[in-house]
Amino acid sequence: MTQSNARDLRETGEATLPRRDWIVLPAVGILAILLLAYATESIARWLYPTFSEGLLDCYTKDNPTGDTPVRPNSVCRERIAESKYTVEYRFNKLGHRAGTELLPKAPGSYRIVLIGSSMTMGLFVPREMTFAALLPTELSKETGRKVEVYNEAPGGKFRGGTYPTRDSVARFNEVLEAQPDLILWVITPWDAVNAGFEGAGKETSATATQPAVQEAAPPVVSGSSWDKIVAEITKGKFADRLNYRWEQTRTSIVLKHLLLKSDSQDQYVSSYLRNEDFAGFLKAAPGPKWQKELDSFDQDVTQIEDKARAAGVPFAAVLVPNRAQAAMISMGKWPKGYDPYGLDAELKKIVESDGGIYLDILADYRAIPNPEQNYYPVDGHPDANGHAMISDFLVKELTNGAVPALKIADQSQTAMERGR
Amino acid sequence: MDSASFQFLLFGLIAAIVSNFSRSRVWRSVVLMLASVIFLAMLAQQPIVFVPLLGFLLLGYAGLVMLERGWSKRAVWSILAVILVYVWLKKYTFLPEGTFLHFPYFTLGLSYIFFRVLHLLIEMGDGDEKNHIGAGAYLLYTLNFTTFVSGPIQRYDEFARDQFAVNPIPLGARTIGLQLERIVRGFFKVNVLAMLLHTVQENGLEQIAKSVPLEHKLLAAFWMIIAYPFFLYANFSGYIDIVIALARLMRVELPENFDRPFSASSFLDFWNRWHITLSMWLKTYVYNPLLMTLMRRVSSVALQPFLGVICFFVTFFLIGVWHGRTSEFMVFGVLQGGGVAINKLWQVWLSQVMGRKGYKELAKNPIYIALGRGMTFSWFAFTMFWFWANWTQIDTIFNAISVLEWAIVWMTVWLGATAVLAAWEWLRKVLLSFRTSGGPVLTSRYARVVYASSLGLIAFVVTVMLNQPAPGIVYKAF
Repeated sequence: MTQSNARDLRETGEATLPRRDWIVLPAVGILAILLLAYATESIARWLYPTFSEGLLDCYTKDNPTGDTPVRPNSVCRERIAESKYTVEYRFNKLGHRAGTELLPKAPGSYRIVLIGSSMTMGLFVPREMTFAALLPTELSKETGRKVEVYNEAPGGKFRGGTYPTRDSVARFNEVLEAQPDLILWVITPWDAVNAGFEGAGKETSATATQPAVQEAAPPVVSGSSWDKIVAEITKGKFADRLNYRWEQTRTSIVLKHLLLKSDSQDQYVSSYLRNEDFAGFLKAAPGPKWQKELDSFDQDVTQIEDKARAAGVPFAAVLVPNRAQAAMISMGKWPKGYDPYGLDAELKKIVESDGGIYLDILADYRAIPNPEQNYYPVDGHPDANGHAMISDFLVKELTNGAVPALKIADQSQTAMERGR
Repeated sequence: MDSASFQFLLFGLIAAIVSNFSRSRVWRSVVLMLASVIFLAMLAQQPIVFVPLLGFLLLGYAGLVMLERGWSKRAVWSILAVILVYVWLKKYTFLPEGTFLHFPYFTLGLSYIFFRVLHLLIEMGDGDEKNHIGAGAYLLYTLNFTTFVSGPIQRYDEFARDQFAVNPIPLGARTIGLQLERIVRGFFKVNVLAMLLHTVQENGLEQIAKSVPLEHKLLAAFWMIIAYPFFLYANFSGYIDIVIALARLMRVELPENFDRPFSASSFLDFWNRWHITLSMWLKTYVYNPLLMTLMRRVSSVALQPFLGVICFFVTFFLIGVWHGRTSEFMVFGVLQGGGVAINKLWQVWLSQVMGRKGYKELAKNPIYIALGRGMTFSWFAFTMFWFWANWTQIDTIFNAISVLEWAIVWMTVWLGATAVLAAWEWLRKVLLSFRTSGGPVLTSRYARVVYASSLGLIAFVVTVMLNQPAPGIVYKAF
C-alpha cells in the first residue's frame, strides 16, 4: 500500500456504501474464491496429471485375510502427480515385480534376493530405474562375476499389504525357493516404526497412503491453551472430513510438493521435527513406544535370521533413510535431542547380534549436497534419482568386504575374471 | 502473539470490536490499556521480566515531569540518561559485560518505546508551551499494543489527537472494509510472500556454501541477494499493514511506514519510502538540528552543500547502528550513511557540472530513473548482508566465488533490477490507467474484494497447510 493510496482510501473511506453493495460485495468475494479454487485445481490437474489403469487387476480386494495381496501375472499402470513417469507394474506368476519369472540360477552366478517394502518394490518408479534393476549390472561390473538380483518385495503397507517385517517372516519359504546366495533386506524407518503394528491389512489402499502424505505436513503439537482450543475445533469430525477432502485435491498435493521442494534443508527439517509422531525415530533417546517397536522388530529379525541360518544363506540388512533423515545427515547438523544415525545404530546392533550382516549406507548421504531432492516430497518415496543413489551406495557397501563373496578383487584378478 | 499470526489478528479484532462499544474516549482508552496489558502478559509469563522495562518507562516519565515543571535546563541530562539506560538495557557490546543485568528480562519493543520517550522529552524540553501528559496517557502512548512490537513510530500529538478526541474519527462500513482488506493483504505478505522469499534466500545461502558447480553458486548468489530485500519488505510492511488497520478500527490513524520503496530512483529517495517513521524521526531530531548547528558555524558558501552530506552520513549511520548492537551493524550503518552521503555528493557534483537546470532535466530522464532505481535496489541489497548475516556467514558468502564472479553477479543484479522494476512501474501505470468516474478500476471496492478474497484464501490455505508458527517479524528484534 502506498502512502498516497492510503490517503485516498481514508478520504473515500467515509462515503456511504450503496445498499446494493451489501449483497454485491460478499457475492463478488464468494465468486472470486470459487473461481480461484476451480481455476487452481484445473491448472494443477493439467500441469500435474495423474493416471491409473488396472490397479484393481494387480491387487486383490476383499481378501478374507484382510490383506491386499498382489495378483500373479498381472499388469497395471499408474502415475502420481509428483512423478513425470507413468509407471508400469508387471508382476510375474509368483506376484513379484522382478522383471522376469523366477528362473533356475545360472551356473556360477551369485543371486541376491531382495525383501522389503514398497520402496524396495520400486513404487512410483519405472522398474528399469529401480535400484533392484540397477544393482545386477553395477555389481557384476564391480565384482567381475555375474550377479543376479531377484526382487520379492511386495507393495508393503502402502498398497494395503502387511508391514514388511511380518510379511517377510510369513513368506520366508518363498524367499528360499528363489535359491538366494544372499538375502538382502532393505529397511525404511517406516517399516521399523511399524514393526509391532497389529492391524496390518485392515486399512484400505486410500487410507494406507495417509502416512506418507501426513509425513510432509505434520501437525503442530503444543501445550498452550490457544493450541488446545484450536485442536478441539480442528480435530472434530467435520474438520476431519474437510481435511480429508482437501487432501484429495490436486491443489493440495501440488502446493505441498512445491513448498516442500523449495524448502531449504534447515526449514524442512525443523518443520518435520515438529511432529513428534513421525519424528520420534529421529530422537537421540528412544521413548517407550519406540522401544516397543524396536523389540518387535528384534523378534522378527531373529525369526528371519534363524530361518536364513537354518537354510545356510547369509542374511544382510540395510536402512535407507527417509527424506528428513537424509536431509539431516547431509546437513551434518541437527537440533539437540535428535540423532539421524540413532535408528541405524539400533538396527545394526539388532541385526549383528543375531549373526546378520549390516550394511551402513547412511554416512554416504553426508557427501550428497541435497539428497532429499531425490525423494517425492509429499509422498516420501525415493524417485528415480533416489533409486540410482541407493544403488550406488549399496554397490559400494556390498563390495567393500562386508559380504565376502562380493568383495572387489584386486585389479589383476578382476581383469582375469573378466578375461575368462 | 508478537507476530502476524491468526492469534494476533483475532486478539486485535476483538480489541477493536470492544473498543467500539462506546465512542467515549475514556472507554476507548480503558480498552486500549487493558488490551495492551493483556498483550504484554501473553508475551511473557513472569512479571519480573518486565521490571527493567518499567524502570525505563519510569525514568522517561520522571524526565517529563521535571521538564513540565520548568526544569528545562535538565532536558539534556534527561535525554542522555534515557539514551544511556537504553544502550545498557540493550547490552550494546561496547559497554563492559560486567555492568549488564544478568537475568532474563523483556526488551521486545524497547527500541520503539525509546523513540517515543525521547520524542516526548525533546518536545517537552523545546516547546514553550508545556502540555501536561498524565501517567495514563504516557503509558497508553508507550505501551499501545498496535505499535509496541515494531512501530510505526507515531508522534504523541497525533496519537493524542485520535485517542483522546471527544469526537473520534468516523468508522463506516467502507473504512471497515478497507481495513479488513488491508489486514488480509498484510497477513498474505507476512505468511505467504515473506515465507516463500525467506525460503529462496535460505536456499541460496545453503547452496553457496556447498561444493556445487560454479553456475549453481552464481545462481544461488543472485537469488540470495535479490530475495532478502523483498522478504524484509513483505515481512515488515505486511505487519505494519495489519497494525495500521487494527489501529484504524480502534479509531486511531497510525502513520504510514512504507511508500513503494523499490520504486525509489535514488538512495536518498529510498529512505523517504522505507521505514518512513524511523527516518523521519532521525531527520527531525538528528539531521535538522545538526545541519542548523553546522550552518551556524561554517560560513563558507562553497562548503554549505557539503554540510548536508555530513549530516546525512551521521543520520543514516545512526539508523544503521540502531538496528543492532554488534559490529556488523556498525558496518551496516556506515554503508547506509555512505550510501546517502555519496548519493548527495553525486547530486551536488552533477548540479555543479551540468547546472541545476541540466541536472533537473537529467533527473526526469526515464533511462536515468530506471538505472538509478536498479542501482538503489542493488546497493540496498548489498548492505543487507551486514543486516542479516554474521561475520562468519559474510566470510563464507564472499569467499564462495571470486571477485570477478561477484562483479558479474552484481552487474546482473543491477541490470536485472533495472529492467524488472521498470517493467513493474510501467505495468502498474498501465493497470491504473483503466479508470471509471470513481477512480482506477483496480482500486475500486469490487476489485479490492476480489483480490482480498483471493489473497485471503491463499494465505489461509498455505498457513493451515504448513501448520507452523507464523514467521517472526524481523524488526521486532531491534
